[in-house]
Amino acid sequence: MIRFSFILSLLLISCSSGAMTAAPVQVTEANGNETAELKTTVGFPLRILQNKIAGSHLIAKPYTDRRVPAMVRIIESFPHGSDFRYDIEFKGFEPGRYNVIDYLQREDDSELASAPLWVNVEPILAADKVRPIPLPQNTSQFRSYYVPILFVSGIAWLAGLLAILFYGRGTLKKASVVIKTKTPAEKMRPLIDAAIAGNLTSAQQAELERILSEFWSGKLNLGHLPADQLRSTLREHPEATKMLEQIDYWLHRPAGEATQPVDINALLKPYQGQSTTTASE
Amino acid sequence: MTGQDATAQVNSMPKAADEPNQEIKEVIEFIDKIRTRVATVVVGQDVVVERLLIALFTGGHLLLQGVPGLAKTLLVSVLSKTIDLEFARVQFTIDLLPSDILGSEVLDQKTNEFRVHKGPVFTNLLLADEINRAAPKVQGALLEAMQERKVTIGGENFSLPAPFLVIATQNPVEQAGTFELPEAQLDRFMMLHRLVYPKPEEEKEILRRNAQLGIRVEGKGAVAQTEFDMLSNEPAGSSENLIAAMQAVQQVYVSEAFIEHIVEIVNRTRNHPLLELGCSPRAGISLIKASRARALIRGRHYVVPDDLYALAEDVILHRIRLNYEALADGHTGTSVLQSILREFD
Repeated sequence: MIRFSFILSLLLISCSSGAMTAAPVQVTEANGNETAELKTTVGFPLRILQNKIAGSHLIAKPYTDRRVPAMVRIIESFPHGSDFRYDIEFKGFEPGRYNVIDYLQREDDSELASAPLWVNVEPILAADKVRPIPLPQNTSQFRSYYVPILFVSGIAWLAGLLAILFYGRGTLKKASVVIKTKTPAEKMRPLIDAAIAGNLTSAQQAELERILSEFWSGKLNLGHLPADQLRSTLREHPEATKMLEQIDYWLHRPAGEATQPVDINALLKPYQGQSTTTASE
Repeated sequence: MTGQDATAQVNSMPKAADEPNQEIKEVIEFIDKIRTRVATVVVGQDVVVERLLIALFTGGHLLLQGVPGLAKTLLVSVLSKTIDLEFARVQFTIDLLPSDILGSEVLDQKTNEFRVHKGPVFTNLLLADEINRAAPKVQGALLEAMQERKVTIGGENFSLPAPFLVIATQNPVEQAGTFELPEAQLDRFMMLHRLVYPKPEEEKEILRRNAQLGIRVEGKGAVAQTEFDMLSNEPAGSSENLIAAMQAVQQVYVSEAFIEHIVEIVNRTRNHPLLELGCSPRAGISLIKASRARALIRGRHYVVPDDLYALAEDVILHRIRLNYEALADGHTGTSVLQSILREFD
């Protein structure tokens, strides 16, 4: 236990010395006579080392009142015959003359009648500077317009938000309306005309094939199916599969496989007059 | 005019005989034998078998993604035995080194000279199990071998045997401690197929078969037999059959319109507002290769858009990456791809 308290004391000393460099003072007078007066400055800890005080063991008085202008801490105590030697740290918060003994008490609550141990705490600031120097006042023009600027910014932010919410959505709706108007029937009509006229490029042929698939998808309500399942469903459909077979002959099989050339006109003519509203939207 | 009118007109149009030529007939017979042999030990998984055959016939590599226990290893094993191919399996782990796969130089203490010890990559069918568990340098070493089909050991180049096919697997769950394959390396795989659980009927058949496996007596004891014990060591086809199938794939006709379909889809992935990364040209090449093989497997000597749409998910999905907006809006790669495939303007 004693070892633990010793280590704790060392730690406290090292911490306090790390936080603020205390001034150690060796007090040699230990026989109850008044010693030379010690000095420190406000808030600066003063260490009084190896100070012998006669009588039973002493402890620091509890610091319960924040208005008390000084604080004493016993760093460590050492037995000295029937008496004790003490390492004491003293800190004064206000200028003045303090008796360190006033801040100590007997551990066994017996009376403490020791010679005074005076510490003179001197101020660093000038006599008329009892408080910190006030901060300089901000003289910027911005400060006076701060609230109006905040108000205008808030209105601008709100206006922007409303514009995004309503104007942005409106634009999107318009765009989606445009997309909806492009039905497979509308898209395939010029391609069919070109195919019948024999002016279709291979890219347009592929596009026409995709549109025809989508046309049948809309007709059979297969819009929910993935592309591969749509094709296999159309292959199983008695009407759609015949169209796909002919498309295969026309576009995908090697030339010359059919017993006679595919009649593009007969194949595509039925789709030429399709209503633009029958598409899957 | 309605669709029925259209059908009436089309009915009168000419048709050709759909009989495949002798060469394709032989290849189809070979494929049927493989399917039959695989079906003796693997129930269902027809699509995976088809993807394996596509990879085998085109020389493309295949990445299988699925939870453990879906017969991935069994499938590859039975396929290798069916066509009399060499098979090696490497379980990828975090401490695997490139030399564990490729091989290394070892000191022969008798001769005091270094000799090359070839790794498991020198095989026909390499099953890279849980490829995403290995460190990137190991993944990189394997993927380089996949691309170049040769390996350098001790400054000397060694060609890999032909055919050389890597079938890698990865687990979609338990991602802790794994190294996700970057897009550039995923692109090396012709297809990434996502395995699904068997249907209830298939599952019943699996359980029935498993209940009849019995035990095998070994020395003084016995062990319970597994599906691997049921594999027949008699090949259903030779390497000549495989070469014939590979040649037949090369002869499958690809129309201009089909190429236009592929170019259109690949370009849509590059310009789609929800995609951060679109398909590389390698995706288009893979689509054509895989479509040709699928057409042959289905007995056709020409490709149709059905092949493209059936393979699009396996070929394209691992090559595209959604952007932040798409992820925030809850889109998935599949939904975006389907919108691309179903878009008609």
